[in-house]
Amino acid sequence: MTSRRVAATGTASRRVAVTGMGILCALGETFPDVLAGMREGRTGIGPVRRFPTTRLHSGIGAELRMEAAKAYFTREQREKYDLCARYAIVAADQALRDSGLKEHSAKGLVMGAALGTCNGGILSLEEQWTVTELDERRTARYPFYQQGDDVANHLGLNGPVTTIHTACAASGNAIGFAYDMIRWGYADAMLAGGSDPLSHAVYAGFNVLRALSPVPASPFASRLGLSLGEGAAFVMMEPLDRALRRGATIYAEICGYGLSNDAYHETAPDPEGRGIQTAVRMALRQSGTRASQIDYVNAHGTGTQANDQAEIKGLRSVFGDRLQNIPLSSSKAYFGHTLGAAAAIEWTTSLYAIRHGLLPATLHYDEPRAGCEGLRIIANRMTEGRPAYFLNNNSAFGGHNASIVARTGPTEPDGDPHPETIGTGRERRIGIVGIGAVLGGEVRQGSVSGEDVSVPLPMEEKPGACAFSLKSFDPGLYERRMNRLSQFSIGAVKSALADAGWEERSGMAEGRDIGFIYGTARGSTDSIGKFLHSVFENGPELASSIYFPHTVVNSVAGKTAEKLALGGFSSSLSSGGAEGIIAAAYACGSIRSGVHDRFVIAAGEERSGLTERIDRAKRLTDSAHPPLEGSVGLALADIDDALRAGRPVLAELSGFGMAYGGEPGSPRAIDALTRAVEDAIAQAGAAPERIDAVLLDSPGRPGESAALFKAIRERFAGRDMPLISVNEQYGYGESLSSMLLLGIAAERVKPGAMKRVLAVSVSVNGNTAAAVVSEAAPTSLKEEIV
Amino acid sequence: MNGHLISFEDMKQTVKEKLIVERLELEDVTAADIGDEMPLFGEGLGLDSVEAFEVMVGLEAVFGVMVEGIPAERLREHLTNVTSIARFVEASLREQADRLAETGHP
Repeated sequence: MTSRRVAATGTASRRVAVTGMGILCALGETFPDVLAGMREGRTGIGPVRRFPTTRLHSGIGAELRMEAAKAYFTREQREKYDLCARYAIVAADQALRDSGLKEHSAKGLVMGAALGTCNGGILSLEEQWTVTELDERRTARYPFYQQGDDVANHLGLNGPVTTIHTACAASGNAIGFAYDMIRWGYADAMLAGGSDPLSHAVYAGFNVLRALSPVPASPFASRLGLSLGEGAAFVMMEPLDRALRRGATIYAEICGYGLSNDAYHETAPDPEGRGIQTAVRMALRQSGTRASQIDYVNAHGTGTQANDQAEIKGLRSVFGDRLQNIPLSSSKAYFGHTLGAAAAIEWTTSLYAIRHGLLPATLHYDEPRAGCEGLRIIANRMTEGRPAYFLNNNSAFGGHNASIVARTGPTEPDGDPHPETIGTGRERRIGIVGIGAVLGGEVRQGSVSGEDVSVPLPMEEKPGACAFSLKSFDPGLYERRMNRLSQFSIGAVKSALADAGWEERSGMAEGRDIGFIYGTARGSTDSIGKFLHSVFENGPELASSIYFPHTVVNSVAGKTAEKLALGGFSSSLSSGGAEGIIAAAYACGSIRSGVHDRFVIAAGEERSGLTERIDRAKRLTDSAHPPLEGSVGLALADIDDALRAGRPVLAELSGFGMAYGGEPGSPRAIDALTRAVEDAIAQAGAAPERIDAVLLDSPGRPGESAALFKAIRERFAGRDMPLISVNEQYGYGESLSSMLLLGIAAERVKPGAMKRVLAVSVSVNGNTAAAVVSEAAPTSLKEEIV
Repeated sequence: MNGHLISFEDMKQTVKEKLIVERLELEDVTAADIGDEMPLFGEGLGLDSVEAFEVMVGLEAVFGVMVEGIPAERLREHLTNVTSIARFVEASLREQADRLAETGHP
């Protein structure tokens, strides 16, 4: 059945279709119900019933009726999953059934998932109303990566799985990530979407920023403020040719997407809308669509003054005067602002409406506010429309933006409707051209291991602890109350940029040409803990405004982008221990697809009181390895470009494989390990006997490493080769050790040493990723070797 | 804290120490560095909009001044400098005390 093939070049311009959709939102839990509500001009925003709002500025929100989510799960499952995962599972399962691929999943189809969420499992902490006396059962449901992993576990998925946490742009990014996984041959099908339940603490946070409207939100109109909502939506995506062959319903073809970072401020958008402009232009360019072909824009339009003005400015800079003729609306007056689910809910409901010849409206619209005049807002009632191409926009705290171009017109089975699609050039080899690390107390540039490889840390310190201070390292980049994780990450990324020789050029104009992908399993748990403590201890009406912006995990990537002027393609993700390799695969594919020529990838973790409780819940306290904090950054670029420019290349990233395994040590997990390794080796075009060593990164709970080593040894038929656990020497910190692993591998393949190293990360929940890291050589020479 | 029992000077000192330095966790700034008339936002001390909201919450947490019913823009006019904040706190506490005396309810 499988037609999948990991593209050796990564430039396969496979077309991708949406063939299934699922939804849970305040207007309903099936698309016909939701569309019926939209046709009537009904809003899902009403009085909040979930928690008291008496002392807050607003008492309204768009809550689910929760019928589908309640009936779907057994009691045991309700105990096991956070509400975020439960919403996601219901919507993802709907999309899976709708696609007709459910029967196929047993037939060797490789299917993964990308879940976008703003607040992850925050309700599992809220239920306990404490950050110091947390239990293990509910705390285990909290981490961000757990939400995506629960979807994969529940639906038995086996492909690439990741949780994208770029706040209110998260599910837009998730849809883009899934699109890439299919285009690049890492999956046969992907479920992509977003989920966020209404959170009391998050409501309190928006309240203290006085962003909530006391009446239902009216984006672009005279009344300012937003209304929060909740829900989930998912799509099934697969190659268009297969969808056509099997006669699947095709809701849309995803033509391309763009991501960016404002690199401006943690909460306020760039008032000039430059980040939005970058994302929209990227989406148009990648999809080979001209601005003049876009016939509908579903805007982020939260209803706040800052967002709506900046967004319109950004759109005007792309569309010019033509913007006044393009039907435009924000769906947030129907669904509320559903945060991480917003892009997916707004995108799927737009697709469904367009299928019925209708365009979503902006409810509660009276007259335009300043800066939003002269637009063709679809006000209060849906209008008829069948746009051939439509643009969907979302923006977030942390400065992340996501923009998607979808083709909703009739599908042409043959030929490429996007002749301008880029990435059709020669096979590009991508290498590591810079390394920066903040580990122990020091900053390392050009290597991760430091001077003396055998002594990673001074003896007097807590093993794995990081004493780095950005204030001492570069006071100009520091700002007050900056959490340690942001400090580590800025230090590491700055050093990686400097090592690559890019630093002097990363002013804003140049910085828009460097992509940035960041991984963290937990984010700044110190800042998150402080915010939640303020809510739990002082009361929601006295929530801390200064810590609220840091409850979104992408705030670390956002602050790093802001301080280092990285305004290009920008993503931030969690996988609980495979982030390094996933980020590398994402960046390498993006370079080959022509997004940017240069990427910097980084990962980091920070220790805090809250992390110790998460460790206990995840049994990491039983690990053989000490917990590790800090950050590692790698600069990636085309090897031939770098060599031509006279820059040294440390190693080539020549192949990747990603597979979800679940329960560590289970047969499924061993199968995932085998597939990830085989895919990585196949993409690298190297025979297994040409692998000189295997480096393993895993949580190190009792029996875990031994089982993985045994499976790897079997895979290599007992060949005598070094099998090394990097965690024995460095410790364990989910995303951090996964990125560190790639840095260590790069150091091993220096000329005169090993030629090819296989790096394997297995996450806390059995998400597995493998990479082949090879000695770097120019393409001409390389072809002779292989 | 009862606003009637402390002097205006003490009030300003509390604004500096509790409402600004402690509440905003200003690392390299002490109460002595903040002048009574020094602008707090933008220029001067250089606080930003997110910090302004923290100060608004602090008015209730530190002084018991209820600010929920007051629009942010109006509230911000009182947050120009330490003196204007102290004046606002004093007036608000007096008003609350008068209301209490009249109705028996806060």
